[in-house]
Amino acid sequence: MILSRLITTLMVASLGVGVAWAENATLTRASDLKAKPFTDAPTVISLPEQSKVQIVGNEGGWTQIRSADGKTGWVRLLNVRPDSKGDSGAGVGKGIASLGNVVRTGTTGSTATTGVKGISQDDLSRATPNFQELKRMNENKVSSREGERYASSNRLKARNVDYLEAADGPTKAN
Amino acid sequence: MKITSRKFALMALSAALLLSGCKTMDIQTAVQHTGNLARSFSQDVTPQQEQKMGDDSAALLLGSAPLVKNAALQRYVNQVGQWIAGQTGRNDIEWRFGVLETNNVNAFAAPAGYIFVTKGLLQRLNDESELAGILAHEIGHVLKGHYVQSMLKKDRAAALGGLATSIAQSQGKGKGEIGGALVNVSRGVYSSGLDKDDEYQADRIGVVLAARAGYDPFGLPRVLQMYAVSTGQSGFELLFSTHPGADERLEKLATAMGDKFDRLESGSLKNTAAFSRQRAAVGGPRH
Repeated sequence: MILSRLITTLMVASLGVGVAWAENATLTRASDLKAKPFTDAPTVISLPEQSKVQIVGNEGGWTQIRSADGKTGWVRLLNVRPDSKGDSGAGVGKGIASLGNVVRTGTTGSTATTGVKGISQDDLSRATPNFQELKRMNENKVSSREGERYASSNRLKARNVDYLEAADGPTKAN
Repeated sequence: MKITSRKFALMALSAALLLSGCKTMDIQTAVQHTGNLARSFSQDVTPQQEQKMGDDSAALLLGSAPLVKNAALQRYVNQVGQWIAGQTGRNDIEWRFGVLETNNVNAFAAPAGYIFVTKGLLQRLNDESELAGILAHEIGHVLKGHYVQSMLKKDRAAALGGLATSIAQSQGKGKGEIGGALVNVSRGVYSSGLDKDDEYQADRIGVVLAARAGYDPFGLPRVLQMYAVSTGQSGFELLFSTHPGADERLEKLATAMGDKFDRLESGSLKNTAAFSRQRAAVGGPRH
């Protein structure tokens, strides 16, 4: 029991992120499975649209996947859609949500977040505006010069990139 | 629409003047009056009105969850955010950023340049380009006035007329009350979310601004993929009920982005030591 908890803790810690990968997914477009996350890397195999795959991880604009016949490689991230788990997400019941957590982490000890103050619909309906905290937030503001200093000390360089148009019609063009 | 409202207002005013038999108001005053009336029927708000909408909305969010008590963290998101906001060319907007103390996963913007990200979301990010994508998406909402429009749509009179109640509140009057008319409009907007098209537009702006700022443009798509595999997890309820599905958002982005950003990847920054430090300071996500 203690051992299994320890293993679970180690597993969760090693993931380091809130996402347990090895998720089932579908390719929305035909994709070349690349040996490495680069356009000019060798192609392992070409996968057709609607191929069922498993997500292994991400790197930049690439997703590492395992194909149905066990081949591992990289495809463009925007070609991969994780399969939905039976619910689109809107109005997910609390029971289902916490069950998901139990399955994910294998422990029930730390799943409960009810009672913790947060921003749910309930919290918003009860909240009173906090102008003291707003004052604090305003005091935290930094100058644009400080933003630029931060950028240059991290070797971030501004680039010219055009705004994108909506590809599916003129509804909300930028 | 604007013309119709203006005509309507003129007619209404004329009728009112006739009915009341008002003789003290000359025609010049009447026209000025109608002009103001017509303006308030339009989509535009004054900078003062937007500021008030932003202050009340931000104060409401902060009343729901306060700022994380970590000055270095708050300064860090302000530095990153300010740099990204600088790419919009809108130096007239006062950009302010904050991390909210809650395990719920979400990010918000409020009118007049307020941007929030929750601790729960920060805990699920892997690098600074993902944070950049989120902040840039929220900056997009402010740029396009999405929350302003949404509040006007919900209750125009309350959204524009909340000034008096808000001042009373900030001065401590009405303490214990749950909020004035304007606060309640924003309560409604943050509970029900924006239009789907507003979200898709903010996604497109988010990718562009992050790329302009020198970040890996795929940070936001990676976050959306994380959302897509997090369906059913607790902490995501409000996010999922107020946004289009992550799959639809990815599909829209994929179509809009095409392969335009692939060439930008090599010269992009993914992470900084500052992000890793702040990410470690907020600890792991709660399961």
